[in-house]
Amino acid sequence: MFDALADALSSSPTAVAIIFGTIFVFVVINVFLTLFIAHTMRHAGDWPGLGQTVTAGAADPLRLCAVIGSGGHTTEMTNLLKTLSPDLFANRTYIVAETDKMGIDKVMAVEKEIHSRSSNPDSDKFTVETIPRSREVGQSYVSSIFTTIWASLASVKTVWSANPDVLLVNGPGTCLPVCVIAYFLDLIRLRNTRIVFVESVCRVKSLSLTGKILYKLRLADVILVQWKDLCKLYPRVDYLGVLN
Amino acid sequence: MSTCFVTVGSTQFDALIEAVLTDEVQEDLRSLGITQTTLQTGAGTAIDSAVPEGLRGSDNGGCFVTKNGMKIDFFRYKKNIHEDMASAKLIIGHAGAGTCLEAIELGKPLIAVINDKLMDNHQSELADRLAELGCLTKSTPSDLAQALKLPSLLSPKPLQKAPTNAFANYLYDKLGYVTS
Repeated sequence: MFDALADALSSSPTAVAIIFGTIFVFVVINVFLTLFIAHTMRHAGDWPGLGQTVTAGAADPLRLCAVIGSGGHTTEMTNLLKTLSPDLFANRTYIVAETDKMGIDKVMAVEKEIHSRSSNPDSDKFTVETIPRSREVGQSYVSSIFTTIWASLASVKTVWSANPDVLLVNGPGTCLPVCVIAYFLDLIRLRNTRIVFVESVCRVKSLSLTGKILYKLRLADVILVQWKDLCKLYPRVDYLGVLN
Repeated sequence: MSTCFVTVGSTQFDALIEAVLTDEVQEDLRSLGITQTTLQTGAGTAIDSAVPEGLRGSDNGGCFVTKNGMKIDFFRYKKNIHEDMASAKLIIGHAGAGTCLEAIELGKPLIAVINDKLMDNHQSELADRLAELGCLTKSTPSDLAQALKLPSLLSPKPLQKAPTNAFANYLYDKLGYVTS
């Protein structure tokens, strides 16, 4: 009976291709399903802090990576960054869109303030990386698919070398490719990154497009909103009030 | 000297500039004790018709006095309008998030004027909410005079915010750290 089957297969290369193709597809699906379940379990459990105290020198420093958006997003981001402990987040990388000329100036201003608050004289170390923009204001949605793919590829090296423990993003679109890559590198266990998205204070009644994508695809570990109305619409978001 | 600061932001919003320069609005501003109006006019051209001959067309702005005695100071753009906002008694601005939040931060009364000619102005979502909370007064260019007569205009409520370290503490907690 097996001889007959072997004969049939050897005379039909198409059947062989279909059988092995099917096996290959199943293996790939299984690998990603396993990775996805493992990712979900890892991220639902303990975060890397392990009960250490946040004071100068008491906790292992973390690598923070923040994506600087544009305009109002940058202002909101710098306000968030100013409140974080420079001793805990001793290693900071800022990702700025290539076309954003104001971004680097804003980063310098924040760093100056962060450094002035730190007790550690070495706290003034930080890196600024630039990436291509995924979508210019007014660009069509179809062409933005291609520019997003290009921006994603260019971001791989940046995210890889930044190796963030925490990726802090608040929109706009520039941050999406960075999030996708950080998520993927974490999925295949090459990096261990928590993605934190803070929705803009401007979004009172609905999430922004970036927020919706991160929420629906469950890319972000945490999504913070600034108005309570959004908690009812999106049960997995967190709310602390209007942030400074 | 009490100043009213008018800002249109980075775009053009001629309807707002025109509304501010009408006799009725100028009269209302005078009755609030305001003697100077500073205008940030952006890319718009509405200011040109109000300006006396000699100053017209100047891109650096200028200064003149209207017939009802209001001193008008105008410019197109400035790198930082924080000083103008901080020294004003009343701010009339476009409903941009940055302008609204900065005015509230400074504790200044603000009339956020919605550009009703713009379709799908999602920026006004925040202005709507802040108006509901009593932190600012909302208006359109045609209703500006009525907004200036509101008794609540000069006493805006402060915005209730999360404590300064709320975000940092939340993040430390999520990361498994203990804040002491």
